[in-house]
Amino acid sequence: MLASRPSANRSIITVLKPIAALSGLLITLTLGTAAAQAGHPVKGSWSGYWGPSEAQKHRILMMLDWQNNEIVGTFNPGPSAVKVEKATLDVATWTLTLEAHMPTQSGGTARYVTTGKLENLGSWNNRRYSGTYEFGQERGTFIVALN
Amino acid sequence: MSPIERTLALLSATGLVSMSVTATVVHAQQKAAAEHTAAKPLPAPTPRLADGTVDLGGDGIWSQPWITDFGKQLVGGPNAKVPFLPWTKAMFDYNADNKVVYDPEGFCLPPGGPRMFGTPYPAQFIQQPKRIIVIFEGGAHVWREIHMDGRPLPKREDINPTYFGYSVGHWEGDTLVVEATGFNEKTWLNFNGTMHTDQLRTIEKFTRPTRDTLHYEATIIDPGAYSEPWTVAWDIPWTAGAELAEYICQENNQFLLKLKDDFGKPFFEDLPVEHLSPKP
Repeated sequence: MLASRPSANRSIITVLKPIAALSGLLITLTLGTAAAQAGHPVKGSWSGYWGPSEAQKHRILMMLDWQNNEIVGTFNPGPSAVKVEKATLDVATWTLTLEAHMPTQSGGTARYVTTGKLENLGSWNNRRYSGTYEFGQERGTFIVALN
Repeated sequence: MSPIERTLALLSATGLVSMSVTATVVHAQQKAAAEHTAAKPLPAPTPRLADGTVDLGGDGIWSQPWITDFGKQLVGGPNAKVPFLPWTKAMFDYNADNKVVYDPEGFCLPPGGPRMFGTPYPAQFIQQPKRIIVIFEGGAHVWREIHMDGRPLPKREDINPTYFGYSVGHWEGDTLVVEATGFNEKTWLNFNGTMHTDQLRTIEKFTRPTRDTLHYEATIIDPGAYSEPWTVAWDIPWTAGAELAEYICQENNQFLLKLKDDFGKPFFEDLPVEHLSPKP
C-alpha cells in the first residue's frame, strides 16, 4: 500500500503537469491581455480592412492619438504614411470622421474620408471602428479593431 | 395672615422653588457634561517625529472604510461639479450605462493616483527623511514612493508613464504636499468611469489633525480630460494597532472569467485582426 503511493503520485503528477502548464499559459495569456478601457477611446493603433467590395479589400493601419484636445493620427505609418488632416468625434453617437488625402494608382492623391461608429468602447482588444469611406469617386466600407 | 404677610410668604416660597429648580438644572447639566466628557475623550494629539515633523505612520493603519465617490467629495460647495470635457462626460455616461464592468480595478490593476486613497483597503506610511513610502493592502499589492529630498518634479515627457506616476513632496508646516505626474492611461480616477489622460498632474495634501484622522485632499489637473482643475477631499480614519494583511486580488477573480464585452463575447477572447477579413 505504502509502496504504491509514490507511483500513484507520479502518475497523478504526470496527468496534472500538462494541465498545470496549460492553466499557467492560459493565465499568462489572460493577464497579458488584461486591460480595460482607459484614456481617450480613439487612442491607439487600429488595423483592419477597407474596400469597395468583399472581393476588393485592403489592409489598413491607423495610428490615432489625443493631443492638445484634438484627435491626430496617421494612416499606414511608414514610407507611405498619410497624415490625418481632420478628425471629428461626435461623442453623442460616437461617430468618428477622419479625413486625409491618399495616394492614387495614377500617382496623384484623392480625398479619403472615413465615417463610422466606435463600438465596444470598454474593450481593450476588440474595440471597433467601422463604417463607410469615400476615396475620390470610390465608395465602400471599412472595419478596424484596436490592436 | 395679612395680605402683605401672604405676599411675602409667597415670594419667599417662589424663590426657594426657583433656587431649587435652578440647582437641579445646574446639577443635571454638570452631570451631562461629565458624562459627555467621559464618553468622548479628547482626540489623541498628532504624533510627531523627534524633529517635530508630523508622523503619518505609527502603530496602526489608515483604513478607508468604503469606496469613495469623487463626485460626492468635491471641494467648492454644493454647486461644485466635475468639469468634464465632452468625451470624458460621454465615457462617464457609457460606463454608468454598463454598470462600470470595465473598471480597471476590477481587473486587479492598481487604482493609481488619488483613487488609491479612496479604495477601501488599508494603507501605511513609512516615513524616512528623504522619502516616504506608502504601501497599500489592496490594488494589486502596490506601493508608492514620494521623493522628499527636494528634487524638482520632472517633465512628464521625461518620465516612463506608470500607474502611480512620479511623486515629489515637501512639508508646508504640518501639511505634506505631494505633486505627481507621469501617469499612464491604464486607470480611472474614480470607480464610476472618470477618465484621465497622460497629461494628468495631481497635487495632494495630507494632514493629520489628530492621531486618528488623516485628511486627504487631491487636486486633479488634466487639460486633456477636464476643462479646469478640480479638488476632492475626505478623511481617512486610523485603526490603532492594526496591521496590513495579505490580499491577492488576482486569486480566483471569477468576475474576469465571466466578463463579456458589448458584443456579448468573452472579454479576453483575443481575436487576430484577420477575423475582420472578408470571407472569400
